[in-house]
Amino acid sequence: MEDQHIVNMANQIASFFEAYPDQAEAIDGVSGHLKKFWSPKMRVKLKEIADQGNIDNIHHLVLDAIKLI
Amino acid sequence: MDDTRDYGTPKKDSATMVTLTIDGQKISVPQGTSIMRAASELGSSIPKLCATDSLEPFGSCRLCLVEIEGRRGYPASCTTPVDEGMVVSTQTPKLADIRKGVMELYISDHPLDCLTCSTNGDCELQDMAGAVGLRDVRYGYEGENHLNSEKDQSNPYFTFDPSKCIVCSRCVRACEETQGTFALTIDSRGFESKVSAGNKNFFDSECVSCGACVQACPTATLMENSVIESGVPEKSVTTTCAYCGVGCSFNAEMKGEELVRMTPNKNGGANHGHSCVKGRFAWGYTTHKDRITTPMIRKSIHDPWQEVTWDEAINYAASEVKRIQKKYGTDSVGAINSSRCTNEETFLVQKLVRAGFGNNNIDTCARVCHSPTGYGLKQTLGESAGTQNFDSVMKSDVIMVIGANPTDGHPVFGSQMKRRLRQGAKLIVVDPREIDLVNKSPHIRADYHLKLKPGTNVAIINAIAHVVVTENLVKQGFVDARCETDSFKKWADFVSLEKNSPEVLHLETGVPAETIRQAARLFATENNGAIYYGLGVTEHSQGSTMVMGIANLAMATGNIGREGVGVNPLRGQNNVQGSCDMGSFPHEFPGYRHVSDSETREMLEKSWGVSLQSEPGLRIPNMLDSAIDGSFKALYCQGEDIAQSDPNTQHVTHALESMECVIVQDLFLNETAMYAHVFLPGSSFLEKSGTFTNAERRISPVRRVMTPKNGYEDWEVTQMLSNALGYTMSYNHASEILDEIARITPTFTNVSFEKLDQQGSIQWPCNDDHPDGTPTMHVDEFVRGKGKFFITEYIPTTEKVNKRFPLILTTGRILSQYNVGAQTRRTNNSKWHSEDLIEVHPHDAEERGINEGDWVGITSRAGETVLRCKVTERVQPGVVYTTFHHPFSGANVITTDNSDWATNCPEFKVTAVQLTKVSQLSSWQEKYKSFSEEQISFVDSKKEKV
Repeated sequence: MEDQHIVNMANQIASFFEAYPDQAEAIDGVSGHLKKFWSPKMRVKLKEIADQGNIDNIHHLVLDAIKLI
Repeated sequence: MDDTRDYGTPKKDSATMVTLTIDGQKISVPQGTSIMRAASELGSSIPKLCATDSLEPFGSCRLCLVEIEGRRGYPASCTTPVDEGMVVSTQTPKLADIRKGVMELYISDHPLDCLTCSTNGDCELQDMAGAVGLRDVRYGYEGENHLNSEKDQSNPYFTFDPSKCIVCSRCVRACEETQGTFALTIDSRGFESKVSAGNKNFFDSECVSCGACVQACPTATLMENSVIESGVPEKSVTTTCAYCGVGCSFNAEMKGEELVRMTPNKNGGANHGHSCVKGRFAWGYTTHKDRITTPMIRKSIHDPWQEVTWDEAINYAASEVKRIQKKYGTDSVGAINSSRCTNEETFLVQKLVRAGFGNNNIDTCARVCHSPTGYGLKQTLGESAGTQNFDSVMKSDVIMVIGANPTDGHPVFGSQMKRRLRQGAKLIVVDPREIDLVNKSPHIRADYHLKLKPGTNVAIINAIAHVVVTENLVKQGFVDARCETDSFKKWADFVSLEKNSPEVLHLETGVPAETIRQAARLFATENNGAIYYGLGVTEHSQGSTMVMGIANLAMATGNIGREGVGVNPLRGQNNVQGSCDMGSFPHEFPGYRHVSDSETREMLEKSWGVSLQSEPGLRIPNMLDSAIDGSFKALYCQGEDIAQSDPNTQHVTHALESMECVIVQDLFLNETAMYAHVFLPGSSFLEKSGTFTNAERRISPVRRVMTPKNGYEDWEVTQMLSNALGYTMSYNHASEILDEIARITPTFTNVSFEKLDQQGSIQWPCNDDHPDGTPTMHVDEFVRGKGKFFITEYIPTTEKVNKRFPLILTTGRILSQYNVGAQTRRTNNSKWHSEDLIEVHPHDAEERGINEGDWVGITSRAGETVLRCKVTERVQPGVVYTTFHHPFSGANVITTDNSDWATNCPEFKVTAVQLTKVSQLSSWQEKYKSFSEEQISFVDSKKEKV
C-alpha cells in the first residue's frame, strides 16, 4: 500500500475528529478508530511512515494518536 | 383466516365492531368492512368479477348483488359497508336469476375457447360462469362484438388480449392504487369502452411492467407469456426475491422443475402482494445459456479454461490456498462474500475465512454501498440497521428522501411511499437530480426539492440542523429523556455556529437558504417525520458523517421509536442487511461484535474449535492495495463482481492480475471471473434453501424449488472447500447453519426455519425479549442506552472540479436493470435499457457541441470511457449522471478510489470529469472488448469440446 495513500486515509479520520472541542477526545477518537478498523499491518505501516520522519503531511491528531496504538 | 383466499375487498382497521347476520349466520367485523368481505370471512363466496381484496371496491360488474332486509333493490356487496343488525341474503332465487343474466351478457361477448385458453382452470370468469350455473347463452355472436380485437404483444413478459376483456377496470385500478403509475385508463364509453395504455402499446406507454395489472386481471386478457407458452402451473412454493433490498415475497409457480411464473405473495410482509418488473418477470437468467455449471481451473488467466470434476476443482483451490499461505503467510489470503447470497452462505464464507484461513480477511460488497450505514447507526443509535418496517411509512406525515430513488431502486416500497404521499404526506427530496418523486409521479409533487451539488450532503444536514436548533424546533422532551445530554449539547453548539447556517452553506450546496429553512421547519414540526436514504448518502468521502447527521436530526426532532418515523436506509441488494449481520466485515463477528471482544471470541472459539484472530482483517480496498504491493495473493470471491462494481476498474483488475489464485463462485463468467484461476459454478436463488434479510431487518425464507444446475447449493461448495482445507464442516441442510447462527447471535436467538414457516418472516431482533421479532426498534430506549449525537463537520471532498475536469459525475440505477446487470442483462429487461447513457444538462451539452445520441468521451483523473449522450434537465448544469449496469460502459473506469473516511466506502457519487464529443471507443473499451472476447472464447471452446 502506498505511503501517501495510507497517510491520506489516516488524515481523513483525523479531519472528522478535529471538530471535537476536546483535544483528548479527538485523539482518542482517531486512535480508537485506527485500532478498531485498521489491520495491524496498516497500523504498523503508518507508524513506520511517521517514524521515518515524513510527518509534514500527517495530521497532528494522527501523530498524537499513533502514540496510543 | 385463510391467507390465500381473495376476500373481495381490503381489510378495514377499526376499533368499532359491527355485528350482522349473513345467510343466517352472525358475524362481527370492523366498521367499514364490506358485506362481501364479511360474507367471505364466514366462508361464503359471493360471485364477483370486478372486486379483489387488493383494490378498493368499484361496484361495476353487478355480479355480487345481495338482498338486505328492509332495503330496496339489490345493492352490490362490495361497495356496501356492513351495518349493525343488518340481515343479508347472498343466495336467493332472484339473485341467482340476476347473476345468471349478468353472466350471460358477459359471455355473449367473450370467446368460448376455454379449452385452448391459457387460463383454462385458472380463470375467474370461468369460475363465475360455473358459480351462477350458466348453461347457455341466448345471444349469438352475430351482433357487434370485440372478439376480433387485436392482441398487444409489445411487452416481452405479458400479452394484452382485448377480445377477452370484460372491462372490469381491475387492471386500471391496480395500476393506480397498487403501483401508482396511472398508465392505464378506460377509453370511450358504453360498448366502445376499452382498456388503454394511453393510446400506445404497452411497451411504449408509461407502463413499468410491475405486473399488478396482470395479477389483478380475472380473465386471460392480461396474461404472462410464460403461462401462454407453458400452461398453468401445478404447484406453488413461497420464496423470496433475489433482487433489491425490499425483499418481496413471491410464489414460485412450477410445473415439475420448470418455473412457469413468479407471482407476488399477498401475505408478504414487505410487499403485500405487489411486485416490480425485476422480481415478477426477470428470472430468465436462472436458465440462461451463459450459465456455467461445470467447475473449471487454469494456471494462468491467459490460458483456456479446463473443465474438471468438483473434487478436482475444490482440491486444486484448496491446495493453492495452502501453498500460498505457506509461502506468503496466513494473512496473504482472504474472501469476499456477496449480498446476493443467503445469510447461511455469507455466514459460512466468513466462518471459512476466520476458522479455515485463520485470519479476518473477510469483506462483503456492502463495503461499496452501505458500510457507512452500519458504522453511523451503530455509533449513534447502537445498532447497524434501519429502525422501522416498510409499513411504517403509512403513518408518516412528512417524508424526507435523501440520495435515494425509490421508484427505480426499490420500486415496490416506492409504490407504498407514493400511496402515502397521495394520501397527503409531505415530501422533501434531497438529491442533485430530479428523481421521479420530485414531479414526475402522478398526483405527487415534492414540497421541497433541495437540489444540492453532489458531495455537499453534510452541509445540507448541518444547515437543516442549524435551523432546528436555532429556531427552537428541537423536541427537547425526547432528547432529555432518551439521549446523552453532553453529546447533544456539543452537537447543538456546533450546528448553531454561523458557519452551519443555510445562509453560509448555500454557497457550498447551491440550495437557496430560505428553501433549506422551510424544509427544515416542515420536517421538524410535522407529527411524524421519517427519513429514507440510499447510496446517495453513503457513497461519499463523508458517507458515515452524513449517516450520523441523519441520526442526529431524527433524534433532535424526536423521530425515533414509533411507527411513522425513523432512520431508514434503503439497501441496494437483497441481502445487504443480512450479509452485514452475518459478520462479513473484517472487524466484526456475526451480530456486529468486534473481533477484539474477548467474550464473543472465546465463545466462538469454543463453538468452532479453533483459535481466532483478535485484530481486524483487510477490507476490499485494502486487499486490492495489498495485492498490488505483493502481500495479498489469493482471493475467494463468492457471488460478487468487484471488477465491475468497484471503483477505479483498472486498479481492481491490476490487483486481480497480481494475485496467484483467484477463486470465483458465480452463475456466470462475470468480469471478475475473467481474472480467475478457479471457477466454481454457483446456484441461483431458485436452487437453494436459506434466508435473506431485507432493508427492514426482515428475515425471509428462500426455498429451493428446483435442483441446482451445478449440482450443489452455494453453501455446500463453501463447505467442500473448507473440508479440503482441513477445517471440517458437516452441515446437512441450510437450516442447520441458521440454527448455528441463532445459537451464537443474541439478536437471532429465536430464529429458525421452523419459525419462518410459521410466521412467514421475522424482523430481528428475535429473541426471548422479542419472541416474534421487532418491527420498530429503539421504542423505549436506544440499543446503546442513550442516543449519542456526533459532531458532523462538513469537509468538502478532495475530488474537486477544475478547468480540466469541470463537471461532476454522479451515478445511480434504473428500474429495469439491477446492480452490475449480470442477472437483468440476461433477461428481456434489456429491452428497456440496453446501454448505459450519460445524462447531460442542455446547457453543458450545448457548450460542448454535444447532441442527444452523440458518443461522448468522459475523462476523469482515473480513466476514460465513452457513452452515448442523453440531454435532459433532470440533471443540473455542471452535473452529469450515468448508470453502471453494463460492463462495456466502464462507468467505474472513471470513478476514483476516494472513499469514506470511516469505512472506505467508495465515493461513487462524486467524480470530476470532462466531456467531449468523440467518434470512437475509449482505449480502455477497445482493450476490454478484446480481453473479454478472448476470455469468453476460453469458456466457449470448452463447451464445444463437451
